[in-house]
Amino acid sequence: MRAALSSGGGAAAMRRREAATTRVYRLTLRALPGELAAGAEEIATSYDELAAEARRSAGRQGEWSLLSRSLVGLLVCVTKERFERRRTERETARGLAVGAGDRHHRSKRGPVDMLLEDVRHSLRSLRRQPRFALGVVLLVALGVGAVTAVFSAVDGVLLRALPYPQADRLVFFGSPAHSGPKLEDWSTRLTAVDRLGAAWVETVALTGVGAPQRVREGSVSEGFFDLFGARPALGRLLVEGDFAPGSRVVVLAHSLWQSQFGAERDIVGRAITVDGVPLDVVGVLERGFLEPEALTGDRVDLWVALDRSQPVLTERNVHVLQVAGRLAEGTSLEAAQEELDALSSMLAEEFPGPETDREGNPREVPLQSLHEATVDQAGSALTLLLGAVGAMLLISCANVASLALARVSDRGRELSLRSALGASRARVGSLLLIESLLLAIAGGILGLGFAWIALDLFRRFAPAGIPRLDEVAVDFRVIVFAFALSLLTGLLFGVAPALRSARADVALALREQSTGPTRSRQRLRGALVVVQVALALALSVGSALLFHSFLRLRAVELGFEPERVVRLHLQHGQFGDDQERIDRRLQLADALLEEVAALPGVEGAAFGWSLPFDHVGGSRCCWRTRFVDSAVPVEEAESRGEDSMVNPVTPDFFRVLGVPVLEGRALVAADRDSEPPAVVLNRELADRLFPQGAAVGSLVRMGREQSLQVVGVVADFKAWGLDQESGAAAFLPYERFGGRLPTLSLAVRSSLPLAQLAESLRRTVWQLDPDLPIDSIVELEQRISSSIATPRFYSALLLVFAAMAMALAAAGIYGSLLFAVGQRVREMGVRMALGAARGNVVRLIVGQGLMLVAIGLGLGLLASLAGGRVLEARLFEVAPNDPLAMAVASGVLIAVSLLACWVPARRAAATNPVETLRAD
Amino acid sequence: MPESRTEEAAAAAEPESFLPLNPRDVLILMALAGGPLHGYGLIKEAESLSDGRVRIDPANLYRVLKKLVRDGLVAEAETASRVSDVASGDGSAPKRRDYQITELGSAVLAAETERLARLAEVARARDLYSPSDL
Repeated sequence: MRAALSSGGGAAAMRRREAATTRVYRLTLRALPGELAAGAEEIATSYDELAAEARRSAGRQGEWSLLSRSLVGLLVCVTKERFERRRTERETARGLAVGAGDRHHRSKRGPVDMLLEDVRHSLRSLRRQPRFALGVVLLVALGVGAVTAVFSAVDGVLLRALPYPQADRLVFFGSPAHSGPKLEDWSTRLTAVDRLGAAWVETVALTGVGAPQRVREGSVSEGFFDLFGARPALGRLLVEGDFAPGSRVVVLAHSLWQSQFGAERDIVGRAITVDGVPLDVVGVLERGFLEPEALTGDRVDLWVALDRSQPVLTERNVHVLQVAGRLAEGTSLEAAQEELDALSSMLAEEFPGPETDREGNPREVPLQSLHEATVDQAGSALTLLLGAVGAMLLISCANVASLALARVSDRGRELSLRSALGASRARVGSLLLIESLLLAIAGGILGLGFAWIALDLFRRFAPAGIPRLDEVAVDFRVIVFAFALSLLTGLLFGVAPALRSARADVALALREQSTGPTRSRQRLRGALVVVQVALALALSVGSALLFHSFLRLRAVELGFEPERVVRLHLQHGQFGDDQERIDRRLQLADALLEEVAALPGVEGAAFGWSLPFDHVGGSRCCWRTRFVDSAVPVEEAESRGEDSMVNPVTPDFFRVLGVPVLEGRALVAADRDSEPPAVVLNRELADRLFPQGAAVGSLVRMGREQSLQVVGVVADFKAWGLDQESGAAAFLPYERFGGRLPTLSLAVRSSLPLAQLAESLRRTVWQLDPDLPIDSIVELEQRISSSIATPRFYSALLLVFAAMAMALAAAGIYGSLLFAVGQRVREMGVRMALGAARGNVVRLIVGQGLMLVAIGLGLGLLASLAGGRVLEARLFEVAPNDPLAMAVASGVLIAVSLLACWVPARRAAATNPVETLRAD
Repeated sequence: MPESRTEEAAAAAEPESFLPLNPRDVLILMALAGGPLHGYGLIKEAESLSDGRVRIDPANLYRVLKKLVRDGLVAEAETASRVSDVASGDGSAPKRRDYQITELGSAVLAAETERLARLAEVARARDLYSPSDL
């Protein structure tokens, strides 16, 4: 069971809680009818002892789950008891039973019996109006279902503590990554953080089991598993000796063990091949272990010991580690941050350069709670959804309330009769309240079903990047939430009619024809319509904004032609500088390019270290360095240089991707040996380095010394996402600079169907190197489309919500006007008898409805102006007060409202004045 | 079959007339066969007899015990309970009532056990079950 409880809580608090569940149980017992109440003391004694035991073995959660089980048990018992008693009574009546049980329960009419009678009465009365009951139940189910689904996501993702020991004290060392020496500094010099865990995740090749595979390998520091409370399912985790240089052991993730090794128990002790190196499996992680996503980014398949002696981890200016730690007992995050800042300043003095930024200030590391770092922006998305479904729930409630209000008016005579016959107002009111609670509970149960389905859909279609989604489920907490919500809903819409009926004037209502709706009743119904319209408009504007922004995003000029280009990502070993590896990689690339280009149906193929949309988002992978005009003296290079992304590519790169060459030429095969090496700049970098033009032919310096000759300028193209700037980019000959790189992406332009092309690509690659893992082969267009999956998802979801809200609001307007028309049939008859034309009557009713709609629109526009800012961060080239979005949303809502007004108005106009007046 | 019998009726009743017993009743009678128990002790004993598979709800236990008492299979005990060292939640002495199996109860239990054994025998003879299947 997931530890969702904070570990704190003193003994006193324990006692209070213990009293709480037991008290709930005792109170419930006493309120029960019949024999069980008589045995309450005895039953409760057994229960106390069970509760004490549950508390000892499973803590507070155990106690509450015992309570829920036992309450269900009570319910079952009461039902069985009643059933048996009835049978006994029947048998007694027939003279069959020798002696019937005691009958004291019949003489005593407890509050529960009264309640049961009211419930029975309410059920009977609802059964007489099944359409009303069904409507209300569906409305509540819709509202409660939507809110519950989103709540369970919010609960699982945002509210629940992370599943690690002392999760509330875990902190994350922010901003992008950290060096090996820095980890060392922190672990020896920080006192506010008493444990540290670091991880570095890389993609590696797993070979020897089936087809070669790319898997994610996490290198972790000594304290990592301990910090996150990981336990082995098999064998052991990493121990101290494993961290010695040259140790070759690996721990498998549970999922990899199952998928790749058939969950064989003798895996421990066997060797697996990772990046061509055999590693001994020493253990398998337990099934339930969840990687700390803030550190690992995603799933991790293999875990190895971090070898701190490797060059990457001894340099101060190589930042690869993600670090988390646990605050020392009694230390606050602020205090820890203070100590960390002080340490950063000290390090900046000791190591100016690697520990300072360009201005010489210390590199500060922001501390963040691990929970916050994990949920990050998912929080704002879920809060947005919660707001949207909350608005929908309110619309449903308002709708239900006006339905209930209309029903009370319809039943005015019946209720007044009851009052006249001696029922107290409180009793009539409670009858109505019970009725709405019954409907709310039914709606809640149905809503829980909706929520379950919705959550399943949400999990299936949600874009990547919502952390902890696997943890989300409809569980006990969510069920409690749904029931609390539907009871609240019941109260919310039960109160209006109950209050109204308590005020009902008996004499007035009992008269054969009441004089029509009173002012206050009309005003209340009008207010409900206004609220619905306002909320529906706010939701619609929000969805229109997101949709508009999404359309803008789709219309972005790419700067290249992704159609018919297929991308394949290859992984050929870790970073390595030795000449043998470099030569092998280059030979492989050459051979591969040649073979692929010769495949039938292939129009062109090219390699790049990265292709557009390989990496999407704000962070820039993989090679970024400084360029400067060679004419600038070295000492001024820092201030006059330009940072740019660097991408080693093969000659056909621009042709295959359809990037136009604007000046000079593209790279050619001869560039592999030319001196100085050739470089192609994109428009942006060329303009920044050579504002006066004439980039082609100039020399530029890359980094400190590498001199390059600009041979061409290509157009800017989007590489990092549709909403990202193209940025500065330089392209180098792959043959010259690509040999050290561990991965490369192959772009193939072809008219072949994807499946056929993928098949021959795989065959070609594996013929050359059977151990080369191939990432999925996808169309470039597909990658671009999935890069906007998140905005697409949210705008589609909000569009659905807005449509539902609008439909609900329209139903509300329709119902409300229809009722008003029904009440005013006589008035209409008189008007028409006095010469009003049908058109006048239609105008009267439609005008009445539109008046309410107009007020609602005004309020809704104000609300969306205020609420638009919530969306600001998600909008692309669209202002939060975008007039187009507001106009479209209002227009659609007005059209829908007009229709909703017009139908009842037609009905009013169809009144036959003669018949109406004759009935009087 | 009538569900409730007065004690006079029960005294005259043949053990076989109670069969077949509800499996839950069998567990309760078996638990009591070892000696008198109070509610919580009974729940735990039934749980351990069933290898943790059956957890009787306290309210249901009370209801069933009332019925068994009415039928004369179980009686409220005069002797002290076997289990008396269970600490109660709030430290005060809990109000407990102990139950014990009656002679009729023992006879019914024996009859039911024999009935079940015969059934198992038949099943085994026809190869419908072998203990290793479990």
